[in-house]
Amino acid sequence: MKTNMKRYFLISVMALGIALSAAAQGSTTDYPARVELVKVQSAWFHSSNAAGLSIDPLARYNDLSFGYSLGRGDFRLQPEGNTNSLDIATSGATSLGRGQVWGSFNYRNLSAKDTRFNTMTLNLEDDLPFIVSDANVSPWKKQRYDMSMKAATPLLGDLAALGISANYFTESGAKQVDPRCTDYEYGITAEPSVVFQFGGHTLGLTGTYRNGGVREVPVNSNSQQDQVAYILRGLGNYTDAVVGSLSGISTFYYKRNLYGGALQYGFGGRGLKLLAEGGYSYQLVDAFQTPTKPQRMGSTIQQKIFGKAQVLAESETVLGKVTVEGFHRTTDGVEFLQELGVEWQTIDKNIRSHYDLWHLALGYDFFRKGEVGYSWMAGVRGAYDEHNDKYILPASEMTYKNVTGELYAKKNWLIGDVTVLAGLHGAFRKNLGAVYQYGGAEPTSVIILEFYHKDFEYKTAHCWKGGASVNVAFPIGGRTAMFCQLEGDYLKPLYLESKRLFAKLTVGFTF
Amino acid sequence: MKKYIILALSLLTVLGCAQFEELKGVSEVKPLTTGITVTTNTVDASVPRPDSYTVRFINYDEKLDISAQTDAAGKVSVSNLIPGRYNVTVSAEVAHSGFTYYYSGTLTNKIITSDTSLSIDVAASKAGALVFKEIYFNGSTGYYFKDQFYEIYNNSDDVQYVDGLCIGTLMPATASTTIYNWIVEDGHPENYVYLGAVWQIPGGGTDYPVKPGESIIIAQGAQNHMLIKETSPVDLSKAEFETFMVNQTVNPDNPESVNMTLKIDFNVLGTQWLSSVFGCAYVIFFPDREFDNATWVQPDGYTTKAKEFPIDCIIDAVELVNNATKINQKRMPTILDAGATFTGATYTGQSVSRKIRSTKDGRNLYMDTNNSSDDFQVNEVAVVRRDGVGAPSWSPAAK
Repeated sequence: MKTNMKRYFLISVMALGIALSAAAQGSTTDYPARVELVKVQSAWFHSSNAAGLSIDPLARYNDLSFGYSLGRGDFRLQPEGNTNSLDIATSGATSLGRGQVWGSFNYRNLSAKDTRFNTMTLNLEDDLPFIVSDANVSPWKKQRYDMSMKAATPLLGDLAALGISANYFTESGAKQVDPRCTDYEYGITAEPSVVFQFGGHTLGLTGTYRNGGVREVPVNSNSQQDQVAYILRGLGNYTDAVVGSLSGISTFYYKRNLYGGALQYGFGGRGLKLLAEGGYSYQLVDAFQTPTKPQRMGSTIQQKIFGKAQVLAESETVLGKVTVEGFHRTTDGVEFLQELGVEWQTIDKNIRSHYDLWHLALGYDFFRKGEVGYSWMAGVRGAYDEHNDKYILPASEMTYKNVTGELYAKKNWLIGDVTVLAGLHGAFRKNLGAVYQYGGAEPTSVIILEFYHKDFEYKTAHCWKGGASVNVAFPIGGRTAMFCQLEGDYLKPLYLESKRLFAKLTVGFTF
Repeated sequence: MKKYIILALSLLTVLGCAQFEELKGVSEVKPLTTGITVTTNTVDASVPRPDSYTVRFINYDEKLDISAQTDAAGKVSVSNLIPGRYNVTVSAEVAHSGFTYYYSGTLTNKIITSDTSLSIDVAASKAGALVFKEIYFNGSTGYYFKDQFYEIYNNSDDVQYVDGLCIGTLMPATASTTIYNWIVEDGHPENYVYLGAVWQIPGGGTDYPVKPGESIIIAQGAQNHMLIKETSPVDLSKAEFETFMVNQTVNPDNPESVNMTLKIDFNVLGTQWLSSVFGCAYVIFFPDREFDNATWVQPDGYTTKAKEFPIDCIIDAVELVNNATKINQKRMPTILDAGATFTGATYTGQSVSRKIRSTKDGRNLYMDTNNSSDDFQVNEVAVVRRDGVGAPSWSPAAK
């Protein structure tokens, strides 16, 4: 099934690419700045409602890129490590008949070195505490395929359109030093949607269903040496464990289901677009150990309300876009008291921890249009994040608030038929208050002193980030442009010695 | 293809609903209070009572260890418990007429999920004379396990004779999530330990005296293992006793070391007495009956065989498990050992040994509270006769 799904998605993406390439013959060159502007211009593309593309279509574009990136330095979460990754990405949008389609495919091959405190988890989530940790420094290798699509029917009877968004990803990975693991994860998201148009006004409705699964198999290369591990339960509380021997931890697996929905209101007319969206989702993740005799390791119940508003004002020469978005996510961590008979029986279950997150962001982007997309753009963005996490018994607390401000600008030069798109950006994150109070039984353990305290330091540090990018593109025939892009970012906290550097080289095509 | 996708999504949706149903109505955890009443129904009236008892609530999963003292009536209320699985131990000691009496009682794996009251009946015993002092069970690098040994120490003020002393291991041989409900004739399985292997020291009753502060070594094989396997930390060539299997030629016999007699062999040992490197539950005892290999008991629903011996016979007991996660899988009755000890790894050359409690007349007195979680320490390297303990005069080690 897994292989078939992958094959079908790959075939779909390839077919889409071929179709779009065919459509591209004989037209003017698509430069990267144009593709960037195309994505900004469609407000509905940035909503969960694919049917909205029938009203606010994404202009035809295609891109294909190959990137190599690296991340170095100690100002980071410890499980992240120093990374090298190879990325292949392609996406494209077009009209099929009177309908609209968009698709993307991403592949990432990531090697991380010097990771610590993550024994078995491919994708760590700050509100999913039921994971296994160890103190050994280790490399990781990961590989991910991620495929998405959106499709919308034409506006039927000039009144309504139907749409669907879907995403499917698979990821595999392995930790490279004892205690090791081999992991597999998948996720499927389906979002059917509908819009109704009344004059310049549009109402939309989206339903969301997500299903996911993870399987993590622990193993030691040296079978003579059991490895100490910790089964985490939240905010530094943990249960002792080992990997190896008869008593070692067994396969962990996770089941995820999410249901959600969103409502949209849109307005469009005379160079102005407004789109507001509000929604709710309810997600449950169950963690188990030993598939043949499932033992519950914990569950999370996540509820999220979110809202987003976009206002676009566009003329022949300029485009301005204001985006306001936010969400409130609250998650309960449930732990189980179980007893083994023929199978594990639940005797008691309680909410033992809470994870609460507020996120608000406001942004403004301005584009001065040009011959090849835009001639320059500038933007400003501010964000506020507030985490309030609690472990109830024994009482522990982790709270912190950060506000981030960011400025960015790009200039696009057309020199002959070559474009040079250069950008600068800078950001500052200020911490407005932070508390980590651990009330559990092991305040001097490596988990508290080395893991939680150090990662808390990272999460709550005042820090600034600066970076630059340059993209050189030139036509190679038809509408196709080839580009080469170099990006760099430097991240530095104010009162810590550590730092972080990111760099990425991308070679690609827009067509 | 389309119908398969629709079918798969429908199925996932239905399964998702069932998943949500399981967590319906789950509530936030609340701290609990439990009242304890200590009784002494089975303690002879002539044994002096303590002024109060120490009550401990130990939750290994939560790393929670709460202690409280009872009042004179043996009552106490303990608050701030987290719902979970507890070992509740009651202990006290009273010095009287030159003896130390230990009171102990335990509730094992008691599930506490709401405010409740519990009653614990305690038993009283004099301090054991012979105790396990050091156990080296987990072998050394290279899967080498023939260097296992057991050191037994005279912790009393009197000479002890080890003639006829038995050492045995409980079933199951390794701590397991499988729970054995043993079936015994008298219907009281809680009054016995269930042994898979028993070795006995020969002797006429006074052949092997052990003075206060001396110890004996029982070796799996009485050889200098440091010469056989370079990773082994011990020379056992001077061990007083070895568990030599007759009718085999794989492992050599050391004529200087007295061969013990294999009395019970439901483990089917083969060429050597390999006790699990993951940790056995060990007892030493003087048997109150003749050994009879023709009869045995079995747990309900399992074919495992074992010989039952009354816990009254047991002189000392130590529960060894693989690691901290296995403490809830104890095999040993908690009246004999309320806790467990472990090294956390295999084939590392580590051992466990009893902590020194005090010294008396130049000899060590070792902790023996019948709780090996408290009484034992983990040693990075096994050592024969640690702490400068002496060997008996008749021992090869004394020659």
